[in-house]
Amino acid sequence: MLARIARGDKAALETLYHECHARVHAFVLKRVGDPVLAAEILNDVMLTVWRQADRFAGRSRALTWILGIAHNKVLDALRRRGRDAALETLDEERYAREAGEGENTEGDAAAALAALDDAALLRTCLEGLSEAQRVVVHLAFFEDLGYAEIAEIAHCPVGTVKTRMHHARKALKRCLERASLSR
Amino acid sequence: MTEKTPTEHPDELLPWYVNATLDEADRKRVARHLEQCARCRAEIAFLSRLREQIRESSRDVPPPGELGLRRLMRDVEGLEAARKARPRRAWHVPVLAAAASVVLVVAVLVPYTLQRDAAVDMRLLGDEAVQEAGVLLQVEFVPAASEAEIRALLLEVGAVIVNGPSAAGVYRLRLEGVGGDDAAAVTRALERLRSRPDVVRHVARE
Repeated sequence: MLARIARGDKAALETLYHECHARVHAFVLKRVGDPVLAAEILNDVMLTVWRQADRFAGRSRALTWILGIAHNKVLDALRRRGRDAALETLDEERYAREAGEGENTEGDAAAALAALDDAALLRTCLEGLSEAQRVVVHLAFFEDLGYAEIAEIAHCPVGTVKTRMHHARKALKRCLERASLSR
Repeated sequence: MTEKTPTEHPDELLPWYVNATLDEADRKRVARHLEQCARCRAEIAFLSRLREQIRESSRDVPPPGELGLRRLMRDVEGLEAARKARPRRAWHVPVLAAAASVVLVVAVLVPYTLQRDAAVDMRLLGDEAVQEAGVLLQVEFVPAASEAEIRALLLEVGAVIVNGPSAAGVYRLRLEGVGGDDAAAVTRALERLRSRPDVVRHVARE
């Protein structure tokens, strides 16, 4: 498909758009939170695919390559909005410290599980994660991607993906438990 | 595989057990562990429900669909028209001159000016992350170049600014979607950047 696009085949671009635009849009929207901006970035991603399809080396799945482009576009957009991703990466230490405060007991885990049914609460807790953690959670649970593919998209080592997921799970549980206990 | 002790929970693999992306050996290892570990079974229940809810909530906002496609194809047509309309300039002479000066100036200037930035990258990202971040270029723009000219050129070659300016005004660019071993794509991007001496004073690959 990308080879056809690289040769200037617009029908192939349309087909690719139909196949992947919903997933790219969901990935971007989860991170920027603004449907209009997400649509802008999706368009920008697909234009980049059109211009640079000849650069796809075929070492990974096409979707992985496209989500990698989307990841970079989101970082650029967040940077323009003042949410510097590099600073967020530095903030991971803080999130890690917070997540590490207090281990979950089985009773807490049950409370967190029950609280998951509250969609609004879950959304609030997900928004409390760091940007880097949200990327990993979305790609693992919405896209069902393995940790190696997520590492490729997020341009980080596999160990970092696992660490981010670990801290994200802890932070989510703490948030859900707190909310359920305060009700 | 020996029976797991409580300190050997395969905790970090559980999310990928839930989304069924583990390789067969890890999948079997986790499955065997789950048979005898209530704590990890509870964690699997939590992660499975989390996955269901995330998938459900991500459908709240519909994607742009056909409207988005129409816009995309309109923009593609615009790109095509702009490309065809662009006058072909005899850029070889200034490029050769610029390229000759780049070799000298980059060799002298860049190691000095970006020494501090490079050290920062090493600390923040590590070698592996820097390599995975794609092909990096170092560029110095012409002071009189406008933001619009710089933006148009960067969009055209698919480059984004990832760092800079340094004290001497050098920026670090990343070529999007280009692998480190794709020498042809890197060369094309460098040639295009060097073909605009009115915008780019110096450019070189890191």
